[in-house]
Amino acid sequence: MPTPTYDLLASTVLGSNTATVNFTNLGTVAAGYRDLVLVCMARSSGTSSGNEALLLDFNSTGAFDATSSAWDTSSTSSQTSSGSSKIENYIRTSQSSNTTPSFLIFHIFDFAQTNKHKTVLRRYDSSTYSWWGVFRWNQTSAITSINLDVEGTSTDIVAGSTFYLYGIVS
Amino acid sequence: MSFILLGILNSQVTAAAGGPAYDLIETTTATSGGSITFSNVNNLTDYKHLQIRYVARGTEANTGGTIGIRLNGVTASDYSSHSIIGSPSTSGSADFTTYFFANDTIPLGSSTTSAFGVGIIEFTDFLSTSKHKVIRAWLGNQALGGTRNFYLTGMLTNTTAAISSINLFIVGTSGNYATGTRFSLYGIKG
Repeated sequence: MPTPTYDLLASTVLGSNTATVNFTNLGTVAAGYRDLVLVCMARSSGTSSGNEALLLDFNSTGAFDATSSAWDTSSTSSQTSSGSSKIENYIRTSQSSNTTPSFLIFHIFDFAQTNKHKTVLRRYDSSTYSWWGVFRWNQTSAITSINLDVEGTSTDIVAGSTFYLYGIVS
Repeated sequence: MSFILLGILNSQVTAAAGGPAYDLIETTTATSGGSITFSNVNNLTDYKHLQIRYVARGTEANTGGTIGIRLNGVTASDYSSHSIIGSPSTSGSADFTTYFFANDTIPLGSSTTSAFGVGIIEFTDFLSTSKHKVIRAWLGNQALGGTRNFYLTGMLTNTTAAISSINLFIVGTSGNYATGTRFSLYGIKG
């Protein structure tokens, strides 16, 4: 019997500039689901040129290994990282009153399975670039929280940014 | 021409009367063999498109494995695909004219313990008999101890036959899918 799925589990729409966005208690919130999909539209309050890192981690622990490729108007590039405590995802800043957000999507597979590390397909796009890639969280623990914060200590995620968490059964 | 418009619920807006459009059809957890097949998908007439989400690893004593996709049991050169490939050191591209395959997108037995490759594969207008089929795939492997790749692929079948079966296999291996591997099939209404 087919099972309707791809359900909205939680959402955050920022009413004011905020330092961090957290999805917690996923063992309860996402009970019965197999994959999670996090969809974000975000911008930082920083005024530096270009982009700023929106950092993501699971359970505030563990290490990540990542491979990504980027395309902009003139070139492509590849990037890899290993052993990072957080994953960097670049979002547009508020330089020169820029109001254009960045789009980010994370497909988190088997988030609660304890017999494997967690592998994630991610993509983030803005008006000037597109990044695609894959990363792995090197823990077999179930993911119980997803945490996002902007790298700069004096910058926030701006009001109006949105974060939607979906669950998919298997 | 078909476009998939998947309305995803917005918590600020009352759900529209369209109803559920994305259904889990079945999940296969591979317990033996290096090949799985979703059969008789041509009977899924309530759906316009299909999607497979998978988490996979192989058992062969090697590092990077290659996922192959074969439709309706066809092994001839009835396919063409183009891929953008990302790896730690470079971005590249590739073309294939036989069944689609994506190199080093699943880890095998000698790669990082507990690491699995993942993928999302979409089959648009899979029942149509008036057009060639377009398959889109986003696959990735981030296990260490070998090449780690992600693929963005578009594949075209050189036949207008409806898709009746989908076979996903580890190319050129004598090993099996490892415990913890699963392939889930979803139907999308349209």
